[in-house]
Amino acid sequence: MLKASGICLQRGGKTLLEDINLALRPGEITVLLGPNGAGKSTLLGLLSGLQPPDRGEVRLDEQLLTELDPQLRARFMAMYTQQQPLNFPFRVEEVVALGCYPLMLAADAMTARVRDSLAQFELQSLAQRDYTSLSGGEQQRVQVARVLAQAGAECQVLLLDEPVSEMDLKYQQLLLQRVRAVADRGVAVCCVLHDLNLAAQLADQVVLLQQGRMFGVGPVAEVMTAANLSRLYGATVTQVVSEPQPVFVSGLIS
Amino acid sequence: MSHRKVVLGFSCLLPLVMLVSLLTGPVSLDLTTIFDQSVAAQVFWQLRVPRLLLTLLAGGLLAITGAAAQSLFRNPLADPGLIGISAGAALSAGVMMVLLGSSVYLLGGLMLPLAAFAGGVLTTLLVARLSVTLQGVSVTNMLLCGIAINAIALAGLGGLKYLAGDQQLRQLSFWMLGSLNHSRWQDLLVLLVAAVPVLWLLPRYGQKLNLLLLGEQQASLLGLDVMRCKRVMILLIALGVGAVVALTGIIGFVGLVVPHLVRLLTGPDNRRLLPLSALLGAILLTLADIISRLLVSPAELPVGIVTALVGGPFFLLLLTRRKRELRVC
Repeated sequence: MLKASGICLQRGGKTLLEDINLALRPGEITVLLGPNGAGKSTLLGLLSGLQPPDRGEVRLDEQLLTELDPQLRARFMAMYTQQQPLNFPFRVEEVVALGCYPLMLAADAMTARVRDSLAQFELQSLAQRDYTSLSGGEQQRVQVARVLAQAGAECQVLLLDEPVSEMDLKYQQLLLQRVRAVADRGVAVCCVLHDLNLAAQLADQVVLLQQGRMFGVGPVAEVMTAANLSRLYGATVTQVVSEPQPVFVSGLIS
Repeated sequence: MSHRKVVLGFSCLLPLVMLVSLLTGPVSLDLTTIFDQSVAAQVFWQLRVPRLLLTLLAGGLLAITGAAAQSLFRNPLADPGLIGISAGAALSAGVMMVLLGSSVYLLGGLMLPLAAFAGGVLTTLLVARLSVTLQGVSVTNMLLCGIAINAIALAGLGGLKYLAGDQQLRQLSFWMLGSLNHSRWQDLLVLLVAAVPVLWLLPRYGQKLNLLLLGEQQASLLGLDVMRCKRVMILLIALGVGAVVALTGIIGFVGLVVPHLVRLLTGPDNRRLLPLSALLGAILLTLADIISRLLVSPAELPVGIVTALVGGPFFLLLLTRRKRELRVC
């Protein structure tokens, strides 16, 4: 279990995160929702251990995350970040293979794992293509496949920062399936999304974040109400269906 | 092209250009007389062989450090010259030449290499120091600092040229153009001290540099100690380039064009790119040296002019191709 207790972060006199308490439990998918600049990516950064908080702590089981050996952390945790600055003409399969780096696999196992990861995101036909020649959505699929290739048998935490922002509907759904399958292996997943309906489909636990503070946390039915979401985004959100899961539209409908 | 074919091709080319280099020059040699006490044997052992070794090492080092720098900066156009090492080394050596005059030849001629090497390392450390931000070493800052330091060093060298006497001016100018003339056995020893750790260690960082290409955050998430890796890279690059500049002056474009060519042949994977760049760098600089000696025989052109004349247009060609590809996308 990944547990953040009372974490705060300030940069340049501005409070980015304040007193966040959050537990990511094995097998559970937590979805982070919030307007632009609410601190979602910053929070994921702290949860990954890439950046230490000013106050508070993040622990993986009992281990303080910042004291964990980086190589070990890479086997316990995988993360998809929004910025993917790769601009060298690697082949798609080479990019995915880099995800296996922390797993220290033998050559055969590595090839098999890469092939499997490519297949999971229907990337087989692109395997030999130059990564830099792909479209934005294809590049995102490759990078997500790389991150999921890193999430091996020892993986306990998977963090995803807007993993579907450039994907079309089909691959959005495919990704949700894959993420659910990872969670079912007992991995704690935390995912930033902007699409409320995808969030409602995917989440076991929802966290609403506003200006660096937790605005609400709990199961979908409790937290994702039209009133909460309208206040969270400062925009009108209407709920049109409530069972079996809520469906929202942006704006008022008459 | 397959990796094996490229390795095979390079391994055939290398001995070939080495042989041609040994046989090229104003004194005609045949290999049967090199163990005599003849003048030809003297020329062979005291001039041709050390010159060839210097060329091979310099070419290999310039190319492999170029490849490493491009991966470190995640920019295929980055060249060790860009981070100010060449200019820093040149300025330091220039100061030595002008201020010390003829006493620069004390210590068995080691003063100049040592000064240039120290200048190169100091400049790199300074650039690295200036570009450390809260988030770690910023690549953008580092490149910008390199540009500023290049400008300062070149201005300093310009000033030195005004101060210098005729003899020193000539020496300084030739050295800045990049020449392989300065090849005696004791100089080679200096270069070897730098070359062994660089050529031995850099290829071992191939996969780590691949991770860095994904981005520093991504590399860190994959378990790489990014700060440590970058520090080691900076030191090795400074060591390699500083040592070469000390002995040969500024030989441009090898560190830029060679990794480009290798990437076109076998792709950007640093595990292949680094060793193959060293090989091709050695081959191409030897070839450039042969050309520089043939063009104005029995005199010789500074090899830096040849590499710039061949490398510059070639690089422009690469750029136009890149531009066209971008437009297609």
